[in-house]
Amino acid sequence: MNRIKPTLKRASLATLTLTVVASSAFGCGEDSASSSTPDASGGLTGEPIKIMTMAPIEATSGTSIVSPETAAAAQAAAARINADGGIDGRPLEVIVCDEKSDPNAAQACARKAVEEEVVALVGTYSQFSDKAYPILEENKIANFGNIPVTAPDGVSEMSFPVNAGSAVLVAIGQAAAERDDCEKPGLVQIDSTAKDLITAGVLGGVALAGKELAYNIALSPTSQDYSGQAAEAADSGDCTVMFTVPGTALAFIPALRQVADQPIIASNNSVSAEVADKLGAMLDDTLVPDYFPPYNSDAKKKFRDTMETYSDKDVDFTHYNATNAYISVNIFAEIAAGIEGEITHETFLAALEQTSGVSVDGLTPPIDFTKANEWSEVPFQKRIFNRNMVFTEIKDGEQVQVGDFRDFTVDGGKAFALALGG
Amino acid sequence: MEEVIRFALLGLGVGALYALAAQGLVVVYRGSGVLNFAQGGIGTVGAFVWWELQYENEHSFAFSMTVGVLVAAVIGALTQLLVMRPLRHATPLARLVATLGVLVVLQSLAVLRWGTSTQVLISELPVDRVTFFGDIEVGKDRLILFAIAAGLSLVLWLLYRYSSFGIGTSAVAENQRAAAALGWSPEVIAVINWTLGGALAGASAILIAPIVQLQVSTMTGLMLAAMSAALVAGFRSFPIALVAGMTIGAAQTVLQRYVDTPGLPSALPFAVIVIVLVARGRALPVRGSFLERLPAVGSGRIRPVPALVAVAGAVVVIWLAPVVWVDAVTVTLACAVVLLSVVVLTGYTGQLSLGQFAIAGMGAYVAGRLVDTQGWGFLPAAVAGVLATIPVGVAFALPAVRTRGITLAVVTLGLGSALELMLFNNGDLTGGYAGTNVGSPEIFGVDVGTAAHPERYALVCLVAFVLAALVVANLRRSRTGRRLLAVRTNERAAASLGVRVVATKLYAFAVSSAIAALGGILIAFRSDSIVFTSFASFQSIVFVGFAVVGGIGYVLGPVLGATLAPGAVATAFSDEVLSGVSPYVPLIGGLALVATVLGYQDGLAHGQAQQLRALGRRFFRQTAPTHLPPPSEQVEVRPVEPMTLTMSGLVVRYGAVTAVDHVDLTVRPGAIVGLIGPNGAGKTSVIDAITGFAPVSSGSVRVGGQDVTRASAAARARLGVARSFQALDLFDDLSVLDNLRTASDLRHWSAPIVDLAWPRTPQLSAEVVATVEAFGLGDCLDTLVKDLSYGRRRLLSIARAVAARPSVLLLDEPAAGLGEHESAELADLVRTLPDRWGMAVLLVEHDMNVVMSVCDELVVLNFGATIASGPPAEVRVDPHVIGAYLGTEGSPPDDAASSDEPHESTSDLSVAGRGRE
Repeated sequence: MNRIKPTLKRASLATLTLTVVASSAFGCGEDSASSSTPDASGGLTGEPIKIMTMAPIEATSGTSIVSPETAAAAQAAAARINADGGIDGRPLEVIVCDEKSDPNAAQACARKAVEEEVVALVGTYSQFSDKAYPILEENKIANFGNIPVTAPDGVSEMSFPVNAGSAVLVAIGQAAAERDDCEKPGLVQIDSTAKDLITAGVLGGVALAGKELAYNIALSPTSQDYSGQAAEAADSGDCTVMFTVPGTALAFIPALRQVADQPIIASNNSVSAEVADKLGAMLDDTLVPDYFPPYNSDAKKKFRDTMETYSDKDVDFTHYNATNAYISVNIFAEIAAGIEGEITHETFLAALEQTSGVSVDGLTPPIDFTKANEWSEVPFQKRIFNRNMVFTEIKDGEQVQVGDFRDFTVDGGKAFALALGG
Repeated sequence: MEEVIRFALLGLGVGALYALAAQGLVVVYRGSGVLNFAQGGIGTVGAFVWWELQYENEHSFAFSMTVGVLVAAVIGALTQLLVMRPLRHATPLARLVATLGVLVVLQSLAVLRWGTSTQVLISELPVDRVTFFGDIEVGKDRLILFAIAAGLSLVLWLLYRYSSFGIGTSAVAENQRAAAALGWSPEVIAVINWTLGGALAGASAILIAPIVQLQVSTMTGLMLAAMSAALVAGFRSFPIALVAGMTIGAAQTVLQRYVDTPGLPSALPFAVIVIVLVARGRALPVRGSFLERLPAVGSGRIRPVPALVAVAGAVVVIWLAPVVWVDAVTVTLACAVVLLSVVVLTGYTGQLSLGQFAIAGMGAYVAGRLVDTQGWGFLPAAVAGVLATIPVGVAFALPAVRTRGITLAVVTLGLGSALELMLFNNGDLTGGYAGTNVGSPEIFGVDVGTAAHPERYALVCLVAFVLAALVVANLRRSRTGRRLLAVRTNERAAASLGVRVVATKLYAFAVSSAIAALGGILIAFRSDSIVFTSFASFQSIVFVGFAVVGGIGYVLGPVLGATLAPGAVATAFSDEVLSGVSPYVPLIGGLALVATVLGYQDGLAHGQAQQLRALGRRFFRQTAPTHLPPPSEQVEVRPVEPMTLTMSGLVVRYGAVTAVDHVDLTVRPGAIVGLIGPNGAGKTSVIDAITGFAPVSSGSVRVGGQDVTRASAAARARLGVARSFQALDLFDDLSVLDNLRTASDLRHWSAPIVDLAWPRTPQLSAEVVATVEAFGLGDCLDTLVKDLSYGRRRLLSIARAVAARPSVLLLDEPAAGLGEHESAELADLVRTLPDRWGMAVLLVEHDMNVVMSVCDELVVLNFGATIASGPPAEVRVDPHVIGAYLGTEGSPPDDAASSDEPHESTSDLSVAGRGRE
């Protein structure tokens, strides 16, 4: 009975997170502390290598964010690795910890990671990871392949995300302003504590293309008739850059379409596959910069196979949290296999800090974990190792890739810093 | 200007929803007197049923919508039959919390069936645009929604004004027996109104869903606006609710366009409503409704042995239990501190605030920002947070000065959301993206942070809770606590005894906001970075629910109630012991809330207190009843300070009616002046004007040479004027002794502070004791007033006024309803007051035997004017007086029948005069 009211729990996070909330409504009953199913060990009998994936699994209220696909994808990836022989013959065991959108539960997960002597947290998505970091830092446990959400995700030396994080802000701004049919781009975002940061990133991207923001509308997360804001957007500009959450996008885009046909350039946390599916033709030609190639792309063939073969969970594997977990588990296995001697959280952390040039199925360009982001101007976004995004367009309700990976680091970082006055 | 109009017209859509939802609230309130928090939940379920039928099962819109509305109507009816009907005699607070439980149940069921994601709906109404005045465009659907809302409002207005059912509903609200005479049972009326309310909830949700899209929590989020509209309409008028709902919708859309301050567009309409209501409200003390039962209140007595055992047990758990349980204990204790603040404010003082959790957040905000930006230590920041929250709490209290009950509840809910929208959600004020980082709190150099030392932080919470609980228990046993309870029960009576009602309410808000702030700080500092958005205004309602479940009048209640909070002991139990049920935990929580309210209307602590008492009676000696020192005829009565009451040219008007018309009157120390006259002559109005309960239009009232014409009721009482009330106006849920003490307690400026730490209960003075004995109340001092016989209650009302040791005593029909023998005894007692105590007594009485036997002088009123005055023997034969009594107006002087029914009035004048109480 907690959180009945629609609020952004940790707005700063939720917004920056680039997380799409919505998973399927009927998503899966996952045991809160289940480990992988017996056959997930692939018949391997050696001492298991334990990792933990922390995510909100079960809805605890009408507005709680859940991401069961994060855990399901990590488990499926591990099951496939085990079926292919494991890590030097030892099975990989994924301990799933449900953080229940509850800071205390997140902290309890971190303590459990210490107790269970896991090698690392892998592919985690949590809006309350800030509660886990003090424990992870004290015990030198890497949070590997985390979706960057909280402030420590951006600065902690235990944080090693595999996606481009807040580069998406620069990407949507720049992509919009580079279009010929977008002379007066405007920003629609969800009202949150991260408002200035979001504005700065988008503004920087727009400035890189030599244009200015025509409007900057913050949608209240609690009032849902957005026709006034839609009318304002239609009046003031000729294209819309969106950085919201799916629920808000689902309410705003129909309102916008009632008054204007202007192009939409939306972040991947605004327009998820589910949003694209539900809004159908309303989203035609909408541009969505994403972290990874879309679900139906060739690059994701092995990912799709893995999810279909090794998971029986009815969850939304189109979500980038799922791809993110899959990539993270695979890179983990690769690094762990290369460790000579005992595989512990300490040896893994040391190996990770020496790793560069890794990529899984070409879902990302090679990633270099040896040095943190060069965006020194943006101190709270140091922990970005993969600086690339891929552009997708919505066609008939499906995401289609357009073009190749694109690095938003160098110019984007400057623009970001400029907009923030740094 | 055209643009403003255009945006205002865009707001018609949500405005229509607000209006319809407000009508649903009004219907339920009129039918059963309940503020229905479940309204949003009922609407949500109706809308999802429609969605599932039309979008998943491809039924027609008309069919799907009809079924959706019907389901909502049935849920409304079931809520009344299964939950509200068994609670019909419960406190209004318990009923409100029951609707909250229903909301939680409905929302949990909706999440289980339909999930948490947003469903996209296509409007069935035409969305093409209509053009006005050249270039103002607006979608047709908005106009149609407006038309539907207006049409339904008209239908409702006609229904309630002209149909037999509508008249029956009004009758039930006024007088249940009268309604029964009209052939309407209150039960049937309530069921029909709940059904209608449910149907309106469903219809409004279905109509608005294509505009706002459908998600489980959406409708609840929109309810504050609907409540505000209903409030403006006084929870009564359909046309006003329509206009108010539309206005709020339009104002929000326009503000969103032109105002950039975050949260302001959503918050401003409520702020305006608050101001209007506060300005419109009346500041005069009023009597609580007769029908309202108040929640039971504990004694505040501290039993050292069980308390120490409990604390020791908690310490052992904190030291030995696994971390999961330690965290749960921490959450429970921190939330229990917030709930203690609800006990003080709502339990003891009767002020229902739905903003307490926002107040708690305010404490956390101040402390958190001080630590983060100023580098303060945890302890000084916590102290500053507590102190800085007090003025905010007092600001929340300002509406409480002029509003009460449901109005205060909605207003404080609005203020809480204003804090949430404009402060907690505002990145500029909360540290932006980086947030508010407070690190690990230290106390005297010892790290007590939860990350490294969860058990230490739990101990900090335990110490804080014990201290706060001691303060609350002390308050309950102190004279200040008696004043809080006096205000809760009867503001008029409290004021008549010199209790400053306004100051007392402000005090309660101040103390409770300090406690809430402490709780908020404990909750917030569990994390090294504080998330203020978690102090959502809706949580304030949920917390009142926890408080009621635990027992809102008991110091132990908060611990029991707080176990239900998210992350507290109950959650840990369901996680650790009942694994696999976690999807059902919210549903179970909601059902538990409803079941607890049904089973224990006064909370779990009340039930436990009774069991413990029963156990105590079996195994230990009974608590000794209070005994007074033996009565003694030789008690030396210290005379009161002599003061003369002088009234000259007094005029009291109520609108066009002149209740008191240029009356002069003087009562000297040691004398009894009788004020008589037919019903409606203005006698009670004279007493009200003297004591400050009726406004004086012209003329003056002087007491002991001091002009008190403009002084407050409490100030006059403190000067030495006491009164009794025709309707007694006792503190029904206090003991006889507490009633007397409220009058006799010595006042001291430091008491409100000192009482928190060291409550003192001085003995009644010997002469008061003697009087109590004389009034025959010596053997029932521990009895609750509501358990006394009518005759004894009458005597107590006089004894209470005497216990205040007034210089001037005004008695309003003290003998009404007493038998001949009792009346004669009473007359003797009254006579001793001027003779032994030297009081100046003004006696209003119908019983001519009493009047003639005790009065030194009589003043006779008719139609507000003096028609005769002088010694009783002369007045008795005055032809004007005989004319007045024998005329068409009323009964002759010696007709005792007229005094049998003191509450009933026979002339219009008296209705006007007394109705203004």
